[in-house]
Amino acid sequence: MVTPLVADVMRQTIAEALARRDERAFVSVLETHHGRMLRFARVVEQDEGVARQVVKRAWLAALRDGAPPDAFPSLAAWLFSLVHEELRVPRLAPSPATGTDVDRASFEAESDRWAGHWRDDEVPRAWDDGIQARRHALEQGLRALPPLLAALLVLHDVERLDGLEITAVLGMTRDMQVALLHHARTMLRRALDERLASTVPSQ
Amino acid sequence: VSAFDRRCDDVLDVMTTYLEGHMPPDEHTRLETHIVYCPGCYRFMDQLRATVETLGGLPVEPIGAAERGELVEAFRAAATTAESP
Repeated sequence: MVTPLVADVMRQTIAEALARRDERAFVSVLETHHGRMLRFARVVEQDEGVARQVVKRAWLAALRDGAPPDAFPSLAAWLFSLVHEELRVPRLAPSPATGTDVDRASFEAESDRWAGHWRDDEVPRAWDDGIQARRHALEQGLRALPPLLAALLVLHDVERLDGLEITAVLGMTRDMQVALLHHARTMLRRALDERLASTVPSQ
Repeated sequence: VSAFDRRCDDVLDVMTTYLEGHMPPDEHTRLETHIVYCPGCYRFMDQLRATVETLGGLPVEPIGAAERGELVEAFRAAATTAESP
């Protein structure tokens, strides 16, 4: 996220580069955003060639239009929205799953004195990992998520877009972002847990 | 406040609210008290935080020469079109 003043100047960068035929300015935008757009595309589109084509088409749309419509809070949000349009991410289900993604059998039963607390043998195990193993597991886990949740996680936790920017890209209210974010994060934690959890029981 | 006056399954449900700093102060204190004494929730929170931190540290791949060349060509064509009357 950048300050509103800087964001306002940056919104016009591509249009101004076109008007001035300023190739260097365009390359600067390209180098800043292309890898991020590709990373976004990859979590939704499994085929690498298709993901690259999606990003290319998004750039061509940006060159055609020059600048985001007034409703867009930032250049980054607009570029991600162009990728999002090309990806055709399925719309939000009428009643999407929310809450924590965890096996309810991990907790003591309602009839137990400790209802809702971790069962002793279900306490999460430590992860045996280094940062590379964790990143690898995370990239695999992201691609296995429902596309909309993966897109939300990338925009919020990887790209650190704010709520307004995410609304502009995904068309999702802030309340829904918060509800789905928790569900998506806990789904991803579970995916990491399945790959990284120690085989040694927790103490 | 007892560390276990909240159920673990309820504590898990508000962890993102906590991590995002959106939790009211009194609830914040109750949650932290629970987590300090509960190994399961402590580890779950630690792993959730690690997941978010790892997401934030994913590297960005630089644009390849061929793609860059193609898009610069597209820029030149668009700039020429924009200039035409």
